[in-house]
Amino acid sequence: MSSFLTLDWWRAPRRSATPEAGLALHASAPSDTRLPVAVQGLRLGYAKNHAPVLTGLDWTLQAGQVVGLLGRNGAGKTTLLEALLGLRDPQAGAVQLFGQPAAQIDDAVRARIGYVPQQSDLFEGLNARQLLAYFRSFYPRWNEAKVEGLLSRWEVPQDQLIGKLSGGQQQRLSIIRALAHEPDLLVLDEPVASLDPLGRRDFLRELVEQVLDRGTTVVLSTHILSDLERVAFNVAFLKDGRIRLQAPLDELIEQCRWLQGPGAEDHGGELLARFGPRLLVRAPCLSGLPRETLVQLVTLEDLFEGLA
Amino acid sequence: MGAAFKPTQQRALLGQPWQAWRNQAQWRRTLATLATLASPVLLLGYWQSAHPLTVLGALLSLWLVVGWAAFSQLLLRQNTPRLAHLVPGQARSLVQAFLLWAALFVLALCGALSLWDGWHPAWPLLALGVLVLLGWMGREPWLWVAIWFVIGPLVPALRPITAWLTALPATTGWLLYALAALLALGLLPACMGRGDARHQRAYQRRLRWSAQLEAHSQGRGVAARVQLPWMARLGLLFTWPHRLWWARLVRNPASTPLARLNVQLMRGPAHGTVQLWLLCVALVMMVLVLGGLTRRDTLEHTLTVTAGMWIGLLSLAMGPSMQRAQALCRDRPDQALLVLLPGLPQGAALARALARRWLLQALLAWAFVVLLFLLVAPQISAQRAATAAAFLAACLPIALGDLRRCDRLPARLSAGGFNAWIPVALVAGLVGWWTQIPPALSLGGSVLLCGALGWRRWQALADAGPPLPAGRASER
Repeated sequence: MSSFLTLDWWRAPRRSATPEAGLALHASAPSDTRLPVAVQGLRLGYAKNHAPVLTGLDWTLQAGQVVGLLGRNGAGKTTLLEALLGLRDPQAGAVQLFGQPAAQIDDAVRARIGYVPQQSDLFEGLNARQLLAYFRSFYPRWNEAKVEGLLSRWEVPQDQLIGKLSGGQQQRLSIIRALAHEPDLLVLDEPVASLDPLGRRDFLRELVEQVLDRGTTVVLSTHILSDLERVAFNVAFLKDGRIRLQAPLDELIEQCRWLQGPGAEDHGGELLARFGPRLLVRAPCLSGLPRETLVQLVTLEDLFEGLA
Repeated sequence: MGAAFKPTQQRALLGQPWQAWRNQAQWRRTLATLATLASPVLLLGYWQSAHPLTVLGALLSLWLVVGWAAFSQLLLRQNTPRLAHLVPGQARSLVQAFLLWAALFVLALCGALSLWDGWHPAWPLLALGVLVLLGWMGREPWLWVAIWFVIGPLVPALRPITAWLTALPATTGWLLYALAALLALGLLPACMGRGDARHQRAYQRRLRWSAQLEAHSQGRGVAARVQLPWMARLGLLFTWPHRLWWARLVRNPASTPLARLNVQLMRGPAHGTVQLWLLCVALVMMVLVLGGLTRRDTLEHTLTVTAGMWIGLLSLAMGPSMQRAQALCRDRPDQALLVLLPGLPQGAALARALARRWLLQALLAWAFVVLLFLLVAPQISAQRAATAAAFLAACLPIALGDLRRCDRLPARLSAGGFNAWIPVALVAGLVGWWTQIPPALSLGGSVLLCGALGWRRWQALADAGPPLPAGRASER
């Protein structure tokens, strides 16, 4: 128990993640070989005379992958997550969830998806217990023990009207609702925005447990980069309507460097971004650079600055 | 996970509104609504010495229609695109519940209509048609507005349509009947969306319209992000005085902070300038309609037929007082900033200053309508004058709402206050009709009574805490 509280579990599994998917993280690999999410040439906009938010986006998520979706405000993260779930009709392209068109999924696929939206859609006139009973009646699988445990651990008032709960408490309830039926695909749109630091820590712990136990595929959008560093084995940067880059976070941080000074242009790697004289380069050939070239390690924040 | 009927899911779907109703202790509001609906029916039945079963049939029919409107709305609220698309079986179960309960309501409504006016083969189709219409009005709130434009031309056309239907050969009549029933049966389940793009669009439209209608009913402006563009332009026809007044206050450095506060708090029809403009428009329309009538019987007939005119005028006059509390409760974050305006009186002084301003606005508006009434009163019969005067007198106490302590407003307000007042004013009008109380007596009595009550409330305001943000002294 004490080792659990020291939160070593936050970092340990990520170190051992394979670049592709992190499939080795959970006890048993999912038996379903169909991709949880496959997006091809997704194009979506809100008005005919406005530039589309998503422009021919291609994206694939492997089973058991945990992906942090990063992008600036207005980049289209929520739009992408909604389109990915079939809640928005694309102008072009196709989205498939577990091998079915996202707009026409059947009940079996529905039961495998958990979603925490940015804006709560809970019934405000009910209390937490009534709300969970409502959803329990629809799902073939429902982990009552987990629900009870989370309600108790996260101190969600069970007999108070949802409309009278604080924003953070509503967010916790929304997360419990999404986890209760043990989904295979969990889509989280800024789930920790209303949570305090302890709430965020509890949520992340639960998320990691879910991934370790069940091999759940998770897509998580957030602006809190420190949280993403703790749980996201992969990060995807959304810019100009496309996934600009997706890679394991450790790999990116190990491979990318800031380069500045004479010879920086002959880096021999992949130029990701340029800020005046500073270059953000992936896998530069460091041995070939002159000694005067300034080489600096990067953080996730640097990557966000350069790629999002 | 087939398309089977699942009782557990049905229980959850029906339990949701029931639990919400119980949790929010809405029984008082429900009783008030039932009483509001019952009072005119019971009074009319009593006045016409109708058979008790006839009255019961009319009352049940009315309750069932309103009950279906509320029930279908509660089911529709669960029909969000997100839940319909992502929760297994939810949309399908909702459609099943909707159809099952519609069938029960049709049966009950046919029974109630038969009690009222005997059995008629048209009852099932009529009941089904009403249920479909109300269901769609819940899904597409713009139908509430459109229906007003349809009702007018439809009423005079009802008689020829009925005559045409009656003259049809029996076979053709039944064929039309069956076609109409099929159409209604097809439209009924289509009320519920399946979580697809069409549902998403309809849902967004519904949210926008609901926001518009809710904002209008509360006398406040609508957030730009939810406002329909053409409605914003249309709204300018009515709200331009507010914008003009606002611009004038901003330009004028000598304008008082209280006036600046008021123009921000009372947006839309709740502001005095907009109210004055709307009353002027109504007056011009009245003059145009009544000015063309010369004969006394035509004038009296018109005033009787257009009883809605008085109700409309009084709604314009007293609406802001009824909506003020709701408008204040909705804008609490703004108020927290506005009370920091330099130069504003604080505490009880601010409470009294706002109350004085709002009360004066309400009294002037009421006096305006009374003046109009006094101008036309000599042209109508004593009985009708007594009815209108009693109705007017019963509406004056609404103005006392402006003297309430804003700091003690409840955290959440419903439209219950408005509902509760409708039967009071209607009963007052009917009492005026029967007893023929002289207008001077009913109006004078109301003024005296409200004066006494208002004075007490005014004194109580001396101990009031800071009024804004509204509801700060209430329990959460």
